[in-house]
Amino acid sequence: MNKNKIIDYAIAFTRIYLALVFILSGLDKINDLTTFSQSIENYRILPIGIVNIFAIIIPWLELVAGGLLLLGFYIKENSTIILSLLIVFTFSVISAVLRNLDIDCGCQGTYDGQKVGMLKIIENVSLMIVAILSIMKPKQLFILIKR
Amino acid sequence: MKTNLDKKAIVVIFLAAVVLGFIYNHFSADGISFIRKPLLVENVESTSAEAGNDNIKGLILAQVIELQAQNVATFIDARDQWDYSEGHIKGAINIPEFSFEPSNKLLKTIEKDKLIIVYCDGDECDTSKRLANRLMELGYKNTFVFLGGMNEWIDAELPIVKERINE
Repeated sequence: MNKNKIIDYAIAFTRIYLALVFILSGLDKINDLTTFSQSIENYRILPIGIVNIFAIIIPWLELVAGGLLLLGFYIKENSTIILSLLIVFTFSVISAVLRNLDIDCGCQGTYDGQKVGMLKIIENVSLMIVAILSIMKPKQLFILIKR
Repeated sequence: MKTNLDKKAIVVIFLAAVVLGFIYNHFSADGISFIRKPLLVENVESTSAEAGNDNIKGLILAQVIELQAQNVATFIDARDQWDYSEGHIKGAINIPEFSFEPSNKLLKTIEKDKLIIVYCDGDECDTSKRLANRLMELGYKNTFVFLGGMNEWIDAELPIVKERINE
């Protein structure tokens, strides 16, 4: 197997990993919208009145984009949506850390009680790199649905 | 590098998520209201006082000290188990708000008309208010929040207990 082929497989596997992370994350939040809306409120970024609207939409955006990414359908577009979400999540975590907020991140999975901090930021940046690779890569492997 | 994004597809995917989200929320038994209301706390003069509207009833440090001396209240520490084990008010039980479920074993040991005082770190944390709100919804009408929380308790140099978590 030549070097390019190995890179192609590596990008495809990381894309599938990214998709699974977002599918599971979305399902977890959908399963407990009350906890997720509370997690968003804890960041004290959005006006409290509109917190629930975001709590209703974000998990489904994660699930739909993650599901389509897994199937290989509109890879660049779904990777862009996921990248945008990751950017928003990461800035939220950074702002919480800078404000010394001792809160649960409510990120991938709302039940684990993982606190906001450097570890979460590093995790998100790693996923952002995967999303960028998926956007940049013109030819993809493991595509179940072709456009 | 040019990526040739299909912007229309992004809009369609976004709208699909919005529609699915609202449909699910509408039909789900655990659906949430579109507009979130803040949890308001009203300080009460005594534990027999009624708070206005659906406000959570708050207590100040002096009231909490008195109630602890009388040994008439159950104290609930709403923080996580690590914070609890590092120091809590004597006699307090630990029911972390982030993992709270109505079937909580410790909660089952408390009678519904018992005087309950919930606290977390202090004014900045909301976990005590949220847990108090959940308890009131479950019928624990005599639930109060100690707003100053652990921070005010420690600042006043009142005794704290360090012990392993109660599971």
